[in-house]
Amino acid sequence: MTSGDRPEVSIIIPVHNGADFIGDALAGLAEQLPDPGGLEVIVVDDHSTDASAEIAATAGVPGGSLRVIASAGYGVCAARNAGLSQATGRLIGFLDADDWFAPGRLEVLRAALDRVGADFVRTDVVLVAERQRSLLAAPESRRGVRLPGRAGILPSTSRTMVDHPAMFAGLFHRRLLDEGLLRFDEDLPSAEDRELMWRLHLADTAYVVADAPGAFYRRGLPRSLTQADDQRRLGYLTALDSVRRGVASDPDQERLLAKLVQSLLALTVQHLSQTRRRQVRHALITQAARVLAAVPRPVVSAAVYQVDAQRRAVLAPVLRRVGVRP
Amino acid sequence: MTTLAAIRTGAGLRLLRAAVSRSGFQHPRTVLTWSDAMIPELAGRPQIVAGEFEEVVDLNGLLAPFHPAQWDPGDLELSLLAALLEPRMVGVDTLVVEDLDHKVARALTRLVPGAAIHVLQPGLDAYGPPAIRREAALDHRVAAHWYFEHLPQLQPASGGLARGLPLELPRGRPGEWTLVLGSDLAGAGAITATAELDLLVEAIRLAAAEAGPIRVLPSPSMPPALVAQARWRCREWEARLEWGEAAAARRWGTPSVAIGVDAVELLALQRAGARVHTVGLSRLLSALTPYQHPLRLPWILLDSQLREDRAPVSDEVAQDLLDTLSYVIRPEWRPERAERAVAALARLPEAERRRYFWRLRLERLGLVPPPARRHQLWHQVRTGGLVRPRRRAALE
Repeated sequence: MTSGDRPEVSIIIPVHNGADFIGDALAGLAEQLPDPGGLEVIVVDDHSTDASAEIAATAGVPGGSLRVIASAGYGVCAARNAGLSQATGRLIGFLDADDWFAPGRLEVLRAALDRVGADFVRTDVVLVAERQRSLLAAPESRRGVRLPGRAGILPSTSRTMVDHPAMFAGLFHRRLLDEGLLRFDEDLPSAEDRELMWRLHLADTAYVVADAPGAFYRRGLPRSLTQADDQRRLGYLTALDSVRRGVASDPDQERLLAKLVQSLLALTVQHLSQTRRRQVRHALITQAARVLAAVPRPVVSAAVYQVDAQRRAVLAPVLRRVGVRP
Repeated sequence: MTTLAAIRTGAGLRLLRAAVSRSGFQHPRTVLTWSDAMIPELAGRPQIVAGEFEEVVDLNGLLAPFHPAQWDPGDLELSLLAALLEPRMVGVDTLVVEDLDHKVARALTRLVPGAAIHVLQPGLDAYGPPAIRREAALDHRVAAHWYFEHLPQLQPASGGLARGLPLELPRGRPGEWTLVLGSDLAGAGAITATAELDLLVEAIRLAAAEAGPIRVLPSPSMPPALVAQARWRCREWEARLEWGEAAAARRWGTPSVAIGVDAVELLALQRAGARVHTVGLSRLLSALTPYQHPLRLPWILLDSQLREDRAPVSDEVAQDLLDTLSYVIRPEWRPERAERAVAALARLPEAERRRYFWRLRLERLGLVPPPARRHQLWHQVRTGGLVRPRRRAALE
């Protein structure tokens, strides 16, 4: 199905040395729309040294169109932005080269988005390790209902849609790209999804959460953040600091900052608990403290008060640096 | 009275059809299908003809997004599945399952507790004992084990319950082309994905040395990413290569040469007049652990018929090999077969004994005596039982 001469859906797949998995990602795109010709797939090669690009070009997507382009910049943000500049679809989605979609997913997302006239649609994610699967549910129980963007941010005391940032678990209307909202910050080494999700929800777009065939996320790969255990762990701090600056003049600044601090504390606990490297740990503590120091002290204190004793103990080195009692 | 069937492979589907045509049981009204591939969403499914059954239920769809291999249902999950499958379960008195040792098949036996069970085993594992221990109550419900006579000269270990069906051989004279059969050993946990890819590429490289076109039939369970990588690595032969699926493959006829790792189809192709080669089977067999691994018996039977370095074993040796293996792999299954195993082992040529059995395993089962005194020192060294005198002194 196409909108005039335009494909219905564009899927952007950034790939860096993904030869082992990209065939799965492309095979999963074969049965997504009633009219396979309505699917446009753009594989963006992020300076791979293996045969990722060639394998993708050879594999193709049955019935759909596939292009392989080279990313001028480096990193997943630059690659996705390069894909966005080439995407012509009415709806736009993303897929990492080591993940895959179940058949029929994109049609369900398209229908859900169009039914309520939303700007973007999000879903649950299935985490996969070999044959073990677990469901990471989108933290919104209202399914199929058009919701204002800001409804996905608050309350600060619960996990909300901004805490479920996986870009590949969604589909976005082209107008977000035309309005300049759908673009990744290329200065972020990681957590680019999180920063973009905050911006979309802050811009008070309309979204819907839908039940759909799975978006499968492969865990435990050597290239993953948790496996690599390096400075990329700090990406979420840069991302949230960027969000902090963005809400500085917002009328609802205090509540938004409360949510941001809660998210930052939760992620800091997670990364401090996971990292095995002293340098990374030191950098996490230092930079988390720096970001928190830019937030009004009462907001930080109130957020810390919500954290349980066990997690406060993990955060103690950070909290001491900002002058808040653990 | 109704038959319910549960199938997960194309071979299982063909065996189901063959058993029905032999009036083994009533034609099933409902068939449950599922895939156990690493990525079932992207795996091929048995090619069921439209209208062949009243209803086909995709179990992967019912369990989605979870994987059948991780599904170990308690009473609550089973009752939910029963509710989803109603009214197909009404009056079911016969349950036909492929691979009774799979969790899904076991769960289905609990859904229809009064039904007789017919087990379909389309592979060479049908000749041997069950892969895992079964409860006596479940064993008593099994009415028959259906299998294809890949090796018609052999009597399966299951004895009276075994129902052999002749295998339909490929038709037509061998054409001047080579067939490469893929497998999914990585999905079975036997080797890594990288090793699987290397084996497939090695098979295609071997095929490239033959004349004529090369047709490759990857396993429906093989992840598409591996197939894509194989196509890339074999691009130098791209002009001669044709990659197909099972449905298309049946129109290809008989190849002159067939190559695979452990594809049971190689036996039928050999009988149909093709030259066949296995790739890597010997070294996979030597590396397979533990001895009771479910793949050992099928691999040994295949290797005994298709070895590159010597002629296939005779029918008598093959039966002795099967009788011995069945006991050595699962001695607790039919302990009364021990005497038969001892006699069969005694008749086996030394070459087959050395190739297919671990001596320590035979000793532990009492099938062979421990080595003579003059060999005991070396035997102790090998088994780690020897403590050197200097160390002994340090310990005392």
